[in-house]
Amino acid sequence: MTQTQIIVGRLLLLCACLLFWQFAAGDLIPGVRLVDPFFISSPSRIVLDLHKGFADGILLKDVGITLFEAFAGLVIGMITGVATGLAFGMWRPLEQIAEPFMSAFNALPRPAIAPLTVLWLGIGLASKILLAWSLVFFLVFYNTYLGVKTIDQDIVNAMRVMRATPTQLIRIVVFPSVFSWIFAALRLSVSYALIGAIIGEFVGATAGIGYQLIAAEGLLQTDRVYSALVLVGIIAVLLTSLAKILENRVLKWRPPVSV
Amino acid sequence: MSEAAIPAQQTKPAALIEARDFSVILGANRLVALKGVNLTVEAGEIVVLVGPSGCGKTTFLNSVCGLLPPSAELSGSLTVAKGVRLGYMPQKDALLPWRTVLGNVEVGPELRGFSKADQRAKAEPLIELVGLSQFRNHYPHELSGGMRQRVSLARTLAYEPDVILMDEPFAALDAFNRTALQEEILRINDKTRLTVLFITHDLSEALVLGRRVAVMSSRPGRIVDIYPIDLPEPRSAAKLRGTDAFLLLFQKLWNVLMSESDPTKGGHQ
Repeated sequence: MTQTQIIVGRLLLLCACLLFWQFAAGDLIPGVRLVDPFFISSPSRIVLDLHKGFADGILLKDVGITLFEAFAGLVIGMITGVATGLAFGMWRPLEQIAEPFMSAFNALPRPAIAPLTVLWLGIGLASKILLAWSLVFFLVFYNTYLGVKTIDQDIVNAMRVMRATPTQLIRIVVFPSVFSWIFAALRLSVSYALIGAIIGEFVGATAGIGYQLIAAEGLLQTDRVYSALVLVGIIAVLLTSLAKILENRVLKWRPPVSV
Repeated sequence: MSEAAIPAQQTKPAALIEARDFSVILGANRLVALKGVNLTVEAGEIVVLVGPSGCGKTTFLNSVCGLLPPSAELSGSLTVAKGVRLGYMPQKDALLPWRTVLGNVEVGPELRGFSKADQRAKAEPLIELVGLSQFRNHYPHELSGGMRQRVSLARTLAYEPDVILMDEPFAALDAFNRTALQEEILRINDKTRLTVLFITHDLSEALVLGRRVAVMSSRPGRIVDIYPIDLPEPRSAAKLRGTDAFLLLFQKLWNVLMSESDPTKGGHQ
């Protein structure tokens, strides 16, 4: 299929789903409905609610806060993840002693930790950043660690014979190799950061999309619940597309991978 | 003698690498990889070490490079002259996949601390020398195996080594590319005298490239004998193979190799 055909196909599928949803909620043909829109809302109601939310200025502020939390978690997670990954990859005793602990911490379900982060850091931004960090950190850590571990020994040997200093070895071989692994994980890191921030907002917050979502659920404002979900979806798609573009640009030396 | 044919700049060629009664024992099961090796590599000569697979050729090269595992036990002496820069060309090209052809060739001068402009000035002519000017901005994955080894060769030369160590660099190439690259080495050697320690299990490659060929026995690796290769210069990898002188030498060394590479001989002691 050509690129255009694929895009047209996707749009058609989307329209069909939206139309059916609209119809099922009784907002397409008056008087004919399958389910009460109280349960499933409808595309037109969501659009109206989004419009209202943004006009009030509430949603825009919430989007900004959630994005800030996710972004802060992403940046701190990447910096600490790279540093720890490098340390583990290059210093064998550390790897041998501490690796099982890393696996154990990484296996902790984040929603279970979320209340603790609020307990430690309060209901402000910090607890959400911590949660976003806790997801991004391990992803970046493992990718960096793998990046160091999978460095081609032949390359390292060739550099050593040419009397590369440790600094040169790190700059010319280790960093670029690790860099490619980190960028390969960037798309996932972005989604993880967003998920972390939103989970944090579920547990205790005063603002953010996750907060709006949970508050609307409590008040049974189904339209708002759906519009918050739609917002999260749109943001996730936009951010991961951005990450993908960045990834392809930075990693253009790789053989193309068809996805 | 082949040494006499080399237009020597110095009155007495200096030994850049010298092994005397050099032995290596490897690993926990104390495998004798090399036993009593005597070999010198002098400035301006191509020495080829030929022997069956697993005879310890690579162990010798790694000893010169300092790439032996720390557990290796050495005896005898192996000296690399002071201040000698070693270039290394492994069988796998070992290019940096995230750098273009140009970027890869620039690594040599970069490691020696040259400025960006000097790196480029040194790399460009070498890329041209190996015939890859059109591909200077390509990434390794976009090149064929033969082209990648050409880049590897250019990178090694760009480092301006005093001795180039080559560990079966063309073994993974098809016959056509292998001959083409041998030709390349000979051509470059005619222009600028190279000092090379070349390792191969391909006797014909050894004879085409080597001014001296050291034949190694199978494990434990020792040097059976060193043969001067008096073949007409300038050499051509393709033409040389059909000549009587070549075939005679080939027969002679082949018999030596066969008698010394009995696979049923044990290596453990």
